[in-house]
Amino acid sequence: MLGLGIALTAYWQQRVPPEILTARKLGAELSKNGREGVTACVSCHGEHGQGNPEAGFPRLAGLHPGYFSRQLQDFARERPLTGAHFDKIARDYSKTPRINLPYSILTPGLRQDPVMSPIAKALKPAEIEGLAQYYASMPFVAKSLAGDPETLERGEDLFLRGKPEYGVPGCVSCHGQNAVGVGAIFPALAGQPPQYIVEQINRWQSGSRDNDENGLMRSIAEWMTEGDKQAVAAYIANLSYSTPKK
Amino acid sequence: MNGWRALILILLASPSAALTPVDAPLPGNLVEVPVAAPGEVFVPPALVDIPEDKQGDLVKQGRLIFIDTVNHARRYAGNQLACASCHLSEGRKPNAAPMWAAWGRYPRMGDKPDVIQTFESKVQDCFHFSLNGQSPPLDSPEMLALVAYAQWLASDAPTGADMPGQGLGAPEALAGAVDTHVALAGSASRGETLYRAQCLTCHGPDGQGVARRGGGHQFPPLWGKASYSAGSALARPAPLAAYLQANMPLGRGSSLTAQQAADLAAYLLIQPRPADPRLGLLQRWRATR
Repeated sequence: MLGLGIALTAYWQQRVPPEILTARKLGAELSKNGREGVTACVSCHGEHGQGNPEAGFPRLAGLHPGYFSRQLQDFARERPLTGAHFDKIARDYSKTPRINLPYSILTPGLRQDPVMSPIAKALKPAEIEGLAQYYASMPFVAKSLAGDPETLERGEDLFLRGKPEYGVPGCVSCHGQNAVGVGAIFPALAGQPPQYIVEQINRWQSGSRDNDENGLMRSIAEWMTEGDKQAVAAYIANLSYSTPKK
Repeated sequence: MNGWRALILILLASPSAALTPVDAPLPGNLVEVPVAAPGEVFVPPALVDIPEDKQGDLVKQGRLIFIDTVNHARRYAGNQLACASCHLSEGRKPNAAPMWAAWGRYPRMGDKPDVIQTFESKVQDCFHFSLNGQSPPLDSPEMLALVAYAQWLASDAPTGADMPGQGLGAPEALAGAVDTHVALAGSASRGETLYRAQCLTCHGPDGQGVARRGGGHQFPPLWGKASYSAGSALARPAPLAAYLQANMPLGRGSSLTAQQAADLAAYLLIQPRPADPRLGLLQRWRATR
């Protein structure tokens, strides 16, 4: 009786909720075949979501579903209008009630990409959730890429300690030990192609990617030199990684 | 052959280094770190420069204790915090009480008990008050390793001299306040708003941070049983405000104003935390009621 109870409890804890299973099925179908206006994910990100290191396409397998869906939402977002705006009929805005949040930094995340943005705009919310759940459930094993020892040493120094003389923390302090990622906010870096990592830091610097929490990554990217990017990307590509077994 | 050489030359010469092919070795001439303001803060030696001898082994062990105290000094650690939870970037970050500045500042009059404190007694205090554990004896291997690590970080640093970036820094609005323990009056309710906007991402809505799988914390807990005790330095408003202003949010130090830092400190210090271990059992029991 006790054994049966333990087995049932274990089964219940291992059980995947049916709504997630449905979402995964939808995501699997969409990622393989695509639909009108949506290219199949497998054509660039690979059959197993492993990415394409030669072309710099990121891996999707094993990413946190919260991070995944947020990126697609940010890809779909248009850059908000800035600059002077004139009403056709002048209004007295001083009478408008306002919500004053002096401490909040409420940025609508923005991530622009010529390839991904049109695809993300065509996706429905349910499809984004489906893809997120499908790719989160996929196993992934990263191959460790060899690198120049001196570059790797510098990369390790940046990864673990950052540049404290400039107030820059190491990657490990948010992205976790061995860059496995922490929660939905801080993505896994291990297993991503070095070109992708360098390109993303370039985009933080140029502002075409601006969807970080609290401006954390932007302020760190500002301090990174070309050599820093290369070294830390080489170190991360040198890490071996596999998604934790369920 | 010539074609290959030309291709490699083009790749090395092109400014978009992002297109380096995967199987070619990454350029190795990019290890020099440009220094924007040379000599502004002390830069401790790099880890690869630890000598390969017995002293070097002690330094390496000290570093491991420093960054992962619960796994490498388990018998003295009381909670899951590590030295590097507060002494950021493995004890190197200026204005986060860096080891390279602390090494040359002791022995001196301590601020806690009115006695001369040595570096070792300060380390003992950290274990006792902040890690809520036991003070390691002066001749314990853990203490020797930690002292060796701090001494190595302070290689070529001046002794007994004031260094920029030492201690918690003294932001202008708090200058003088750090020593006299008088802070700007902080508002805990404004601090709560600020906490929800800027701190909650990492430290969580309940302030308990994120634990690491193998022990220790990815993001340390700010209050509650797992956090540092009420007897530690950061449980006083002025040092905590100075620390927050200099270092938080991580990577965006000095982005808070002095008033914001004081508000945040006020919010963090109205939360429950372990009682000061100097109190008697009954007093501790009352303090946590």
